[in-house]
Amino acid sequence: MVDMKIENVYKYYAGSEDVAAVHDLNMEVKDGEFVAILGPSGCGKSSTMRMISGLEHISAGTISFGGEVVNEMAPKDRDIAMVFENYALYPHKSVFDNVANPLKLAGVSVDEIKRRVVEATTLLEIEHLLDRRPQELSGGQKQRVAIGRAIVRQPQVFLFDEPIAHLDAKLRARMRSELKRLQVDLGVTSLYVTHDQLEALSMADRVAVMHEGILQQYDTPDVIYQKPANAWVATFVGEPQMSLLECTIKTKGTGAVLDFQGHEIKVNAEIAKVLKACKEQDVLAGFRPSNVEVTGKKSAGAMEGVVYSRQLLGGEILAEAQVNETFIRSKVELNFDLNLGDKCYISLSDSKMNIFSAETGVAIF
Amino acid sequence: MASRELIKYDNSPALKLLKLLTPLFLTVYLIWTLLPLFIMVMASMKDLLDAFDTPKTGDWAGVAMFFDFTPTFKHYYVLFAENNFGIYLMNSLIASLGSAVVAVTLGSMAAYSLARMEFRGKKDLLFWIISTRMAPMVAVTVPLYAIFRSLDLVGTLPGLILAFTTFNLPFAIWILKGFFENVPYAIEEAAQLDGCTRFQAFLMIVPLVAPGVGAFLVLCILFAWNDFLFATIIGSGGAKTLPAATKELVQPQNIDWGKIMAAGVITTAPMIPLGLLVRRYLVAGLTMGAVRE
Repeated sequence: MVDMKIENVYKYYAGSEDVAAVHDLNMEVKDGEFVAILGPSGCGKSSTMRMISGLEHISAGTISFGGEVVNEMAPKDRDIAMVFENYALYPHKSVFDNVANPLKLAGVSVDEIKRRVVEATTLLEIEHLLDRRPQELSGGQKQRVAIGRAIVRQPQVFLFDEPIAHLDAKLRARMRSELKRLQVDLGVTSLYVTHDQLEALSMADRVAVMHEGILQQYDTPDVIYQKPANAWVATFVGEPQMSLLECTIKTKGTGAVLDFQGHEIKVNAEIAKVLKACKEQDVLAGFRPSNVEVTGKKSAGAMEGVVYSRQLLGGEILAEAQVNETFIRSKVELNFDLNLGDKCYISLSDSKMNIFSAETGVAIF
Repeated sequence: MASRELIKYDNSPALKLLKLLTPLFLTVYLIWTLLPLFIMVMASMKDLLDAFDTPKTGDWAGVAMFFDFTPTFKHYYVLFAENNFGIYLMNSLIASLGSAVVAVTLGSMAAYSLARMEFRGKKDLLFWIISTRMAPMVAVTVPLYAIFRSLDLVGTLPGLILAFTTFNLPFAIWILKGFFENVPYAIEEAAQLDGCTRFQAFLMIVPLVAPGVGAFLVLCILFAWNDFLFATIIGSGGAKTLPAATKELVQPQNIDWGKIMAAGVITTAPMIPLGLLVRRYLVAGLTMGAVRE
């Protein structure tokens, strides 16, 4: 149970010293917090986790647990436990021996080992599998064994490296809630690496979004979803993806509007004020599908487009409309009666939007 | 999961003929392989007169003559009592086992580093290691003998073990490297996080390569046991092994076939139970690829 500080950390890999896998990372994780590191492949999240665990050297900067710098410490001395993406179970050992391994190495007494292993496996509902070998288990069971091996030690920090990536969708959904509960019950500082934004948003207290080695935004899931720091984070987080429209700011009377390919997008007073004060002319206006309406009926202020696709999402339909080269996504009711190629009218919210600089992508509103 | 059967749709007459001929061919092959061994065992137990008692050509009924004899173990007795075959047997055992153990111990350590680490010149090093096995052993016997002679290793068991290791070690490194590469590194990483040092993590994966290593150990013993070239050239004198000793039974004045047959049986016999013992692991070990979670 400890807090973690990552200060000015860089990671360079041998053979590609001109490109930093992790570039000047600064973040702190509070004691007992569940932090997700989110990003696509190659963004540096796994490198960061491996540096924290000690499996990779830290090229520059310091990582400390509870004030103690751990750069020079071997993995075994850092008092951390890790759950690997491919579980990394010992194939020649039984489930019991797999989970008991860290305790055995620490020299814990046989009785104590038995007690703790049974306790951990019962919590994870795998106590009936103690005599089996990893080859005889399903993916979900193997993952629980891996988690059991991690929690049985009661370490200072948990590291999860995409632990549910290889499970089927239903099991993933179930494990999301179970892992969250587990972390809350155990109260251990946890770091969770994933490329799935849904996992990050649903489980973490705070999310660190990384892209090409650089930390993009580090905040609560709420803020990251509502107020992404830049256009890249905006399109990466949120499913279905936010639609970005290339607009220019035009003053209209005392306020301002967004001009999108000749069509005027109205904005409320608050946004108008920000737009007027903005020094840049070209911006990207981002609209989440829930803030876009697509209908067959023309209405005031609506844009004309063509239905590009429609996907049933269960309780609603994701409709994608095409306006020249831009695609705008919208969530519509099940009674949506337009088909592919039909003419449609798109209405955008005047208040629920995100504005980004077209040049740098940084958020303006 | 896809079926593992060999799906064939070919019913041509050629294939049907092949199906008929295959058992026939295999029977002939089996006889071809086993007959010399059979003759050797039989002859080793026959008095010399009985051994040379063969039927006339064309006399198929006379085959029964081969089996009409009183078995005697006098050839074996003489080999051990007069010809020091007990010592030669020990030499063969010590030299083969010793060389196999040395090759596997050193080889597994080298193989592990080559499997896990990257460094400059690695490809060249690997090629150099395997290239030593490409050269015919005969080509290096003269310089090798000179070196061993100057180190006073000729005719000694340690010298012979070293000589056998020269061909067992590169082979060991090459094969064992493949075994280590089949073990996911994540297992060692998990071990390190569990509390192992890097070396302890290596020890933890040893049981995973053990079947392969065991099978390979048997192979090394076999190669060393059967070796004739180094045994005669480097081992002659104080470290004579069974193949070399058997050769010496061919004297200019007399070829004692009875003794030679017996010597052949003594040389072949120990390898058979060894093979049967590790048969289970030999195929699994050599085709390892099943180490996946």
